[in-house]
Amino acid sequence: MISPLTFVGDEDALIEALKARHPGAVAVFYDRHAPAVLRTLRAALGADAEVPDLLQDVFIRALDHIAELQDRERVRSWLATMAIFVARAHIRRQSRRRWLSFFSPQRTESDRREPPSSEARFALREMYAVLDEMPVNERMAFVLRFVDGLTLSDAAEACSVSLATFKRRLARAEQRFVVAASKRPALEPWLEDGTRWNLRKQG
Amino acid sequence: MESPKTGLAEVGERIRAALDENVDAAEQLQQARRQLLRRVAVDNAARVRAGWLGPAFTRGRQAWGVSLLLGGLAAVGLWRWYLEPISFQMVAGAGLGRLGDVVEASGPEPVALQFSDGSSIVMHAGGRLRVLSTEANGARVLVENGGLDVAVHHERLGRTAWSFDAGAFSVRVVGTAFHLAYNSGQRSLDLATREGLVLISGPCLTEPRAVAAGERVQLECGADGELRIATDGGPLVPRPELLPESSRPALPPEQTTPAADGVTTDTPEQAQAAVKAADPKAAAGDSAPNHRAWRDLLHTGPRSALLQAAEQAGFERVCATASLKELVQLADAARLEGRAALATAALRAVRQRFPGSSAASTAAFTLGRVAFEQRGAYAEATRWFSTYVNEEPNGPLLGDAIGRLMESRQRSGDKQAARRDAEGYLRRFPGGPYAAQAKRILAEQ
Repeated sequence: MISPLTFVGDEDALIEALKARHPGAVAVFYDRHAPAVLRTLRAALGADAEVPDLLQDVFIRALDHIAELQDRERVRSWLATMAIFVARAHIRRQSRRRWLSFFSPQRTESDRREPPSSEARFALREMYAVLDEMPVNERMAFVLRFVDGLTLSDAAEACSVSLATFKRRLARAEQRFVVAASKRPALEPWLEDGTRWNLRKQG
Repeated sequence: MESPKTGLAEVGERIRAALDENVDAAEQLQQARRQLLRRVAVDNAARVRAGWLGPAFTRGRQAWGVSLLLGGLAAVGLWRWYLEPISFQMVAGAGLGRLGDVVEASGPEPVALQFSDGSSIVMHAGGRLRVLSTEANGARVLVENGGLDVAVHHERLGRTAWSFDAGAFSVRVVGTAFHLAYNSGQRSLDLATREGLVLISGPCLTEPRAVAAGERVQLECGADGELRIATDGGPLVPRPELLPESSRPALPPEQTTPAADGVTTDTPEQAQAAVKAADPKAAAGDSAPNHRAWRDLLHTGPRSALLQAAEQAGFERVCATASLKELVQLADAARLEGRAALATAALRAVRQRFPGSSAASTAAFTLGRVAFEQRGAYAEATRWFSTYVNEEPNGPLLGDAIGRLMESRQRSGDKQAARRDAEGYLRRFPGGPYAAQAKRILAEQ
């Protein structure tokens, strides 16, 4: 008795097999879509050590809600929505931890990261420290548009909001980012290298 | 209309580049994949248990009717249920499992077995086991190779009767949850108990060794009879004082005579000596060939005795007359014993006698493994893995076959073909177990 392993079939067959939690289908589903989901999580959260766990959480959530998938042609954007949901929850947990550290620094000692080993790492950390200061909805708009590189319409769909709402959030995010980033010396080279830097002047 | 590229888009690109440079995406993908598949296997095991409890519970409630007659019948039914051996099934498989059948996790995903008493076994990738027998309060499982996570559910009154045989070791379950890994090549057992207690016994031990919750022990019964033990992840050290003083025979040394083409074979005299050490009847001088003896040893083993009995009956004749299932079992036994020539003969017989079957294609894949792993014959392995890919373009072992084909071609010097295989593999299985190797091949000049 040999277990069924690799699943082979089209997207419709794959979705049906996922509903039955066929282990081969889960592996294929993951292999097909995990790189894109990981890009979204990394864009939203940066070099967070919990990203692999969160990636797993996205797919577990997707399996739990697979029956709700209406349009099988839009699996990728559906997963992006799941990723945003998971990232948002993680950011809120991190915010609570930082708030807690104000009262009890010892309990959050483990949250401190190791000192960055390079200028690029330091700049990356500073960049995400700036994003940490933003409201989560504006942060998501910013990272989906500029770091993950989604189009306005795809990014709005991933955030489950209208295009108009997304544009408003994005505009606010851009303003906040420019003001906050300009106060961080480590980010100066990144900001000054842009040849069409219009917003900084406006900031 | 999209706005033109601004400085912020360039900042975004720099962030992406910095993330790619400082965070290993491939490692993150692999880590999450392993965790996800393990979690799905365990969740699936729990779902099967819930399904089984429902109908049984309903039948039980319905049986306890108002009349004495129905009550009596119900009592008889309940008593039979209490005494009835437990059953099991593969999660996501079809139907109940069968005693003695090989259960193998030959792909990258773990495999879960769920038992009707609520116990479960999650076998890691690369593992092989057989459920040899079941009782009302347990089962006997033969672990041929690999790692398991076991959770025993103590539902019924009385002593639990769960045991696991792994090579020369026997693990009796007194507690509930443990991890067991057996390496058939090194004959070593690695056991860590999470809850309760397990007892390990074996020819290398004077008395059963208890492993309590939170403890981990590794035991190795060497081919020279030496016992080595490590505790809690420390180094393996010889422990001759724990060896029994009885006249229990030492394990036969694995002596082989290399043939001219590099294939290792046992001489008849060496094989006979090995059988005498393992089989008391042979040691007592019962050397008359028994043409039915090999069938009796198929399920009870040991493997060396099975193969010797099959050779005594004429291995070629056995391969010509055995059923498909028997042939596959013989091939498995030969492969696990490192008897490449016998394994090859049995697998070729499968292909000759049952052409066009899925078993024949699987035999091609296994022939490739034997050629690669036991003989270092990479060109031959390439031919067999190619055969599988051609015969089973959508087969369950396809990912494995393409990955191994890529590796065989690389090792046999066909770099160009290996690169093509690597590109094909990454297109279909970007996060698969051979992805890292495929990328290395493509990165080479």
